[in-house]
Amino acid sequence: MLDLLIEARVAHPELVVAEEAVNGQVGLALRSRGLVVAVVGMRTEGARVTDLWVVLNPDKLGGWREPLTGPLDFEREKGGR
Amino acid sequence: MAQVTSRVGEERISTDGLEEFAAVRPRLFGIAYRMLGSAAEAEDIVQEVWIRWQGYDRRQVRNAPAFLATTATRLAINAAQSAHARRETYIGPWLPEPVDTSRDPALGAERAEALEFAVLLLLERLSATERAAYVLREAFDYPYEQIAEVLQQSEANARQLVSRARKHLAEERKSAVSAAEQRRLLDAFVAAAQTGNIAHLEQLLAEDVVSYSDGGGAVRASRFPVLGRERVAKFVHAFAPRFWTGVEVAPIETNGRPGVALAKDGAVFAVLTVTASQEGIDRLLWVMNPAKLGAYVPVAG
Repeated sequence: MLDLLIEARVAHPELVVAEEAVNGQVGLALRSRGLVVAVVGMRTEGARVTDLWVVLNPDKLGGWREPLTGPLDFEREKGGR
Repeated sequence: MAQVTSRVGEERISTDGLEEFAAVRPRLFGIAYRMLGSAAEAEDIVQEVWIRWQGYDRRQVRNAPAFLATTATRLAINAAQSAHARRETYIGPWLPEPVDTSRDPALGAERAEALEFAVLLLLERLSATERAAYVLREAFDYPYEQIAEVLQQSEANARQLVSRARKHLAEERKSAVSAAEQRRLLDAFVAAAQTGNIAHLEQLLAEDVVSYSDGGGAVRASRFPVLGRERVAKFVHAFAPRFWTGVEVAPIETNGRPGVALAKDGAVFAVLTVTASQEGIDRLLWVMNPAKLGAYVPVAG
């Protein structure tokens, strides 16, 4: 994974990697010019990461692209399935 | 509840129902998201609940939060059933839509249960009703009586659904972590099959083991799954000459599971993979369909 991240950063120096709370666990968000291009869910056992789930499907990253809207804002743009 | 029209006296609910809805909105989203693994679909459910709530005679509703959660759960069950068909045709492995839980770590629930990717992926394999029962119990701490009401089942059934879901998840987790143990069991199984030792085969198999063969109609293979420890052991024993005599066995990995490729005269004719739990091997998958063996290179030598 580290190799992958390094490779990605070399190929795309504008990529910003940040730690995020992904589904209740520590995860990562990769942003390119402020736009989230990937979210990584992780599972850890002790100090070791046992699983990584890399979500690149843009339809599934809609929630990471904009600030959370108010509780009754139904105008929020809906992404695909 | 601030906007109560106390003048009429009979209305316990705010006139537009907005307040009651807003109060449980995160909970509705939390239920639907856990059941569907999709924030976009969960959002659709929440909106659908709002529309129905608007059209409903709200004066009839005694417990607005319970009513709204029930509506959301039932809509999510329907959505889960139709999502299942769509995901069959999804290109590549399906993953849940990730959600940011920095603001609300439990995502609208009492507990941060059924939220991790690992659990959502396992939930995906349960029936929609089992999923709902599990989510309401584990994440939202619902009493069984209430779960029964939401699912229109008896209380005993609701308990059964939750316990079955728990059991499934525990089993899946168990087999998911023990890749090395699965490999060990598979190697021991192959050794016992080669020597035709029935007693030894039985020791390695779980009581409720199932053996599936995929011949695709092109080669001779059992069309029906073989069930149970004794039958599977006998089945394997009966086919020993065909399978293991003069056969080269090469360890492989398919979909992250340990397997072996069986080759005769330099051509792979079967791939065997297993899954296992603490009780032993619980699934044997024999792929003998030539159309599915193309990717396996014949064993050298």
